[in-house]
Amino acid sequence: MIALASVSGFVQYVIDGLINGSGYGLIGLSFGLIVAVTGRFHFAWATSYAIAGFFSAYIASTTGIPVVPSIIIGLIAGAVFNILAEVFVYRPVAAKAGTQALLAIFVASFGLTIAVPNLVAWIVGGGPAGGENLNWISTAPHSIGGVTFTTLDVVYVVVTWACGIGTWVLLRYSSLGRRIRAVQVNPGMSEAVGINSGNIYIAVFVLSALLGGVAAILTTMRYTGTANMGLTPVFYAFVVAFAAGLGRSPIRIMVVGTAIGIVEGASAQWLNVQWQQVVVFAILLIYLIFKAARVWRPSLFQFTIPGRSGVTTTTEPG
Amino acid sequence: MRDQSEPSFLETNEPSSPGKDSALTRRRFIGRSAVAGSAVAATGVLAACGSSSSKSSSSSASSGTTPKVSGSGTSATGKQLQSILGVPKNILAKGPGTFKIAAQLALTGAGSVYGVTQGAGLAYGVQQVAEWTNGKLMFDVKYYDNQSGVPQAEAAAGREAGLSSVPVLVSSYIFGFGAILPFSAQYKMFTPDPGGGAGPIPGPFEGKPYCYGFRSGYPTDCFDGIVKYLTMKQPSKKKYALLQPVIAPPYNDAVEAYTVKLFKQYGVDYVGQVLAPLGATDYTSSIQKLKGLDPDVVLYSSFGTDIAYQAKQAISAGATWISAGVDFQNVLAKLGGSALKGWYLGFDFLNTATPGNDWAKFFINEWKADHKGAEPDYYNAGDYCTAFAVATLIERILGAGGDITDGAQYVKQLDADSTFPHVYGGPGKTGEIVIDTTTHSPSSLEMLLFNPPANGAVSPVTPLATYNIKAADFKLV
Repeated sequence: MIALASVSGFVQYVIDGLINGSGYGLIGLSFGLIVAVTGRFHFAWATSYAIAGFFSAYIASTTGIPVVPSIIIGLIAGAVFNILAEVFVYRPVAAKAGTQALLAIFVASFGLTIAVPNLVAWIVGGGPAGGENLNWISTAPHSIGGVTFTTLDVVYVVVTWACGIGTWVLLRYSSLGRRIRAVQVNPGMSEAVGINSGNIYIAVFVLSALLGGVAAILTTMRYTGTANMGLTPVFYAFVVAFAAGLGRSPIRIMVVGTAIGIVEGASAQWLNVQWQQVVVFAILLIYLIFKAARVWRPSLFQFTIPGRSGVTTTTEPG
Repeated sequence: MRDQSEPSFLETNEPSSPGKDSALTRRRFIGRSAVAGSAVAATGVLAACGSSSSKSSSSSASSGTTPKVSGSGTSATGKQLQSILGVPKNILAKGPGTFKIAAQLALTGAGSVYGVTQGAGLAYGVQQVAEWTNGKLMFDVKYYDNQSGVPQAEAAAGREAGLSSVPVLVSSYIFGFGAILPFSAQYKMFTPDPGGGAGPIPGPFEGKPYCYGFRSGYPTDCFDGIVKYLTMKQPSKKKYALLQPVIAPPYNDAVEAYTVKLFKQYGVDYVGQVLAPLGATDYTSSIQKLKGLDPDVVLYSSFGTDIAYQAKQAISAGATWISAGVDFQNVLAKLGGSALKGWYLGFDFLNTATPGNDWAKFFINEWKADHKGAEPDYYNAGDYCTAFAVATLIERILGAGGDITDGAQYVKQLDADSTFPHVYGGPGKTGEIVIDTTTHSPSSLEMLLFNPPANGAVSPVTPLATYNIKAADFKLV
């Protein structure tokens, strides 16, 4: 059923897309950070995400612990999961698998993604944790010019972008950030100059868990938390991270994520809702085709800026 | 049954009830955590080895339990059941004792909460059938996991159940959204579905061999009473819309066609439908689509937790339409909370506050006593009654000198007499469900239209009307 919406309806879709896209940017940043710096295809990022989102609400609803401590516990739990995965699964697997490490780690990570949420559901129950337990931010509607949004939506955008900008500042100006970038660029050289890449990996896994955890908790507030709530977001994170370019600036990843969200949201104007996710993956497909075309014919999509001889711009990420 | 020592979850692998699950003891937590830790560790070991030796199967089966009854005489519960349902003379005389059947439920995945609640209802029915028959009919249920409607898992469940030669497969998810159908026919398994029934009537799953809906045709049968009530009470509301989850084109087309016809019958305008993702949490785009239709009333055929999210996001989007739906249970009530205020819900619902017949009162009281005061929900009730329906067919087969291991005999007896006792309906000792032998869906089953409490609880609801299939026997409460 395709319904032609009014202009305000279209703007509403775009605003919804912008809100969701801010979250896509943050999870793309969270997921891409690990892949870019450590080379681990950490598919179990979905589990870390779910642990933070689910347990924050679960703890708040079942233990009587106030919301803020519950959120902190959820974030720590996600980070601890990531550390355990790196120390007790990925490193041994990488050490034994040798040149097959990438695939072996992916398999291990995939196993964790399947096993842990089901085990969590088995231990504490399969039902949703209930995002309303975390809601101290209003979800009452505000309407401006026919466009509706909630206070929580505004907070969602502000917080996700603050996290993205904060990560950019961290990576660009802090000692830890410089070491992370050094390991990303050349792990061997980093080791040679005294940077412990193992510790940096741990730091990156923790940073990723915190960023993903923030997105997960906000998502739980908006909808709910479940033990397998990370399965869909991990695919979005994958798309955003690769479309933005691995190792690129956090700001760029946030912008790409937001843009994907807006395109996805706007697509609802013309498409059935169930096709929205297809739009996201179509974006990835187009991107990959574009990349393949560049390999086949490097001169493609290179343009000379008039008046600046010898200077070219490309649409290549970066 | 209350004097029996209950086996632990780890010992039985049997789906447990919500009431039992909520009591997470320290020992149980530690036990499950230990298993969880071992499994996670094993994941890494498997990956490091580079290959997995685990067998490939999309469906997992857990061992069933053998209900126990006291060895001599009929228990107090059994006597009460015999007083209400009658004495199963043929089973008492020729009962097989332990008898293997199968069930395919959502034991894992997004719908696992329904597998748990349906499994608990079935297990309770199995226990009480054993008491009703004084241990002469004790179902040994083998559970298969449909992974919350994954087609491959559904098909694997149907195949494995068929290969195990059971004559009965209790189903869910509308015969696994059709995936079970060929296996039920191939292996001649009588397949009642009290979870999703036979789906929309008319629809793609009606009248299929060996497969019978043991709840109202979903959502079509439920809609009749809702629309009748709303057009009666809200005559100025003329613009009706439909929101339904994406299942498959034949299903969705059947629901839309029936709904359009229904709106026309009651003289209201159909302004369009929105197809929403099944099992999602973000419905902002779906709600915006609905807003674009500018409806006065929206019928939601969603089920599970989807309704809660849709209700909440409709409020956040500033929607003002009247909302009506066809599902309501504990998880939905908890998630939806106050967002469900003013909703109209109509379907075969178990009203625990005012049960309509003696069996319903007995069932609710027994359940509460055995589950620390927790009330049964309608999924519990549906599977509970289905266990008794299967037992009733066995009683009839034995009376006719038939073979209870032959699934075809169940169909033959159902064709001969398609009326079964049920906890819905009344007054009297029992209500009833009558299966239409053409559509394989109920031709008679009492439903309830009500307003939910909208405070996170599932009861007490505010009854508005009762009605039967096609809004027959419609009565305002």
